[in-house]
Amino acid sequence: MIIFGGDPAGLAAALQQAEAGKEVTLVEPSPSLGEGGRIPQTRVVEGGLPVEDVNLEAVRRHPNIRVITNATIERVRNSNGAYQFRIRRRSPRVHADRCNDCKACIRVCPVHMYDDFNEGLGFRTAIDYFNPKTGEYNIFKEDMPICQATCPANLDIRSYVGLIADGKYAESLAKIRERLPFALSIGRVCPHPCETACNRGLMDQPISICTLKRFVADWEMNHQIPAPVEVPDTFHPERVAIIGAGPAGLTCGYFLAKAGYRSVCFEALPEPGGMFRYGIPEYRLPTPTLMHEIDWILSHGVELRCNVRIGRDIAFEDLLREFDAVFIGVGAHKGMKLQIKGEDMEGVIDGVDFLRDANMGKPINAKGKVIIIGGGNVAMDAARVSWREGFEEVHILYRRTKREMPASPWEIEAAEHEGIKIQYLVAPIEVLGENGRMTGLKCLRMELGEPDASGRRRPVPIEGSEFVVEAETLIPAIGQRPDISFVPEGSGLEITRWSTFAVDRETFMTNVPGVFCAGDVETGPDIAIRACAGGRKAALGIVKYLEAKRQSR
Amino acid sequence: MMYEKKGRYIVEFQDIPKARQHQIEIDVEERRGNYKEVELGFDEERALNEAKRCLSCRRCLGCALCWAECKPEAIDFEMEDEVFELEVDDVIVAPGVERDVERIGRHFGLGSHLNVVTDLQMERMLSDTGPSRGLVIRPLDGEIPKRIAWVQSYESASPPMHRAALCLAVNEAIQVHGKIEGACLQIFSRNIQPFFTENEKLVAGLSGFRMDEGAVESLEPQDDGSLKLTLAINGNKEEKTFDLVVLLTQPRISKDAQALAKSLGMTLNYASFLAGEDGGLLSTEKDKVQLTPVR
Repeated sequence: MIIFGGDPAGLAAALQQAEAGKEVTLVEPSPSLGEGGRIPQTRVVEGGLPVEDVNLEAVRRHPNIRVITNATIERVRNSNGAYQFRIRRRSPRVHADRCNDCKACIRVCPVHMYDDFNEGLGFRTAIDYFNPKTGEYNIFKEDMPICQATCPANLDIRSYVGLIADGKYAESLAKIRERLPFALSIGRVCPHPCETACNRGLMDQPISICTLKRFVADWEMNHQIPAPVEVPDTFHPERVAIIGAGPAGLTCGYFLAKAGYRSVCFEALPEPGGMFRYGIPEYRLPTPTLMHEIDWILSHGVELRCNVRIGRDIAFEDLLREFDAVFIGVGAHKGMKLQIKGEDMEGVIDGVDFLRDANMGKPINAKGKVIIIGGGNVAMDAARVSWREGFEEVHILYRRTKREMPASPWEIEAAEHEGIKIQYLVAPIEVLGENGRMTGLKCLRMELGEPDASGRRRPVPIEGSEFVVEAETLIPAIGQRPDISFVPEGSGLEITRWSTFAVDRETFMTNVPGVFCAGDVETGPDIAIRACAGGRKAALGIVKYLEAKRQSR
Repeated sequence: MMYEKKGRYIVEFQDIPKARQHQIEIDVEERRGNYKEVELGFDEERALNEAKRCLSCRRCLGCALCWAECKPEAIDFEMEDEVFELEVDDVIVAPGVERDVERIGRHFGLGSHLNVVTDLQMERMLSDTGPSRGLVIRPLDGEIPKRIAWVQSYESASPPMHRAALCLAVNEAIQVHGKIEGACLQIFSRNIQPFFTENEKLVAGLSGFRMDEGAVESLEPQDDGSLKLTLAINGNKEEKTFDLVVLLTQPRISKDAQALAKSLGMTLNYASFLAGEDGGLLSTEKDKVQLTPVR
């Protein structure tokens, strides 16, 4: 049996189970057991000893209990009714059996950081003993700085920013390309979680990491410096099929080529790029810039076949037969429905479809007023594109308030700056129309009620607050799902309830050997760099798989 | 130049550029009716200035000062991680309660005034293993506080969360009362009646601290480090000064527990860990996974 959490509740459970004769493994993420002194929060304790003290020594000495501190869970699997865990105990870098608790190390350590063991009260040193009752010394060394650890692709930000500071732009770009081929594109569109985490933000404002990445990529392009193409002299005979030429698929192809494997990338739409090309508006990522980058990626040895939809032009099973491995990176392009009356009327177009049409240069009937429903970045993009297309009025309706809005704050600000009106606490209830053509939208005002399980306050309709907004166009942008209908029934691929494919976290292989998957079709709608990160890891997984296959032959 | 901010000392080196650089953008008037790229990135000067702002941080620097100092030679930078492969039939998850501090309003002064702490920080202070070994002190100057207020820091919370926050505050007040003789201890919170009804005995025998229906409107630091609170108490505005202000916060389960639950194919939140009457292990949608209740 395994118990997660070395707090008093977990310790008590461990002792109880061990006494009952069970073999117990107690797993604790922090370096030390029992952040002693928990005060009950479910009952008032008068007098006596409200502070719970657990017998730590009894837990540590019990023959049936194994303790793993400093633990991270690397993998969980469930097979035949049993759970399999892979747990990593990060090295404390101090031998407990030799340490005599003299505290000399703490006196000399120059690194002082917030004392996380004590909820940030005061400071501790990078080498510390945490719980004084256990005296478990530990050197806190991050494997990566916080920016790198936060980046889904784990880009070595500290290095490439440092190289820019030294004026070494080419070296900086090379550093980025060790893990990401899309410096030009990601440098423009990334919502940069690294900057949110950046420690400099505690001091004044975070480093502008994303724009620095863009700078070195722009610098190479604008100075017409040919980007280096580094691939092995000879390629392996195996070939890989990639379904979808988006951030995940092209990244996968790039890293496969660098490892000496050729791939063929099938794209259903007329041009490559996926959401980079068809989801992100031109004013954020111009097509020539994107194509400059994609052409360079393809030149590594990735063959591109556009206008080929798997499941229509080529059967999925044929790919499995003809190629040695298959990578699925089809993204999440199917907009979710509002589930209200009149949604199928003319004039209602889903946000993702609308952005795709605009990006393809299809004529858009931009007359009168347009209403966009939703509070994410797709809604902001759809609104800013509508404004550029020439709609007279652009309104965004969102059912909660600005505080809960998932869109990036700078995107909201830019939209407002361009004169787009955002109305909060409004939800649509019915599309009104004549002869199948939309003329207006019936809405309801909302107020924020009690927080739900996630802690976000739930919007509650205000009774009798219905009102009608006249509008010719409605763009729902409330989320996307992958369209996985290209996979035939009986393929055996494990599909989650979010219509994504389930993969092994390490190799990104699905439950079908030789079929790999990453990007939005694996994670659900997410940011581009996470898709790139997945594409890279899947490429490494494919390489390992093909090598193993070759050796077993 | 060295100065203090949010409880940390910050050195401003003259050779490091200070302000974050901004991207060059085209005007709004230039954007209508076309798809011109809006953001134009950095020029070389801005890029260099921005890159130089990076503090290149990480925790242990590998300076090996501690290694040189350690007589028993216990420090080993090359010590490797250990990886365990485990197969188990049963899983028990302990909640690991955290506090939602990111959403606390700025006017509560958490982070800007040292003598404003959270309820979990107070819990650490009361603990023998805490930063002051069980002594309740003002973080600013180490003085023993004589006037302490616990105040609600969230707008509203679901009843079990509110109850948990109040319980923690009351238990802390009882503890502090036993540690600091003659201290003036007050708890101000909204929607306090259900808690009173539930704990009739407590209310009858309430000693050492007061509990009032009240909300903080503003907080103003005084020269001596104390904090003047403007409170709405039963509809009246009142000003009161305290040496230490403790914020009641909403409990939530730890990120680790959430991530674990996700990999087990289930969702857990604070309410999942609330005990039944007997206080034993709680069952979940997965028959092999049990939870230890929040205590």
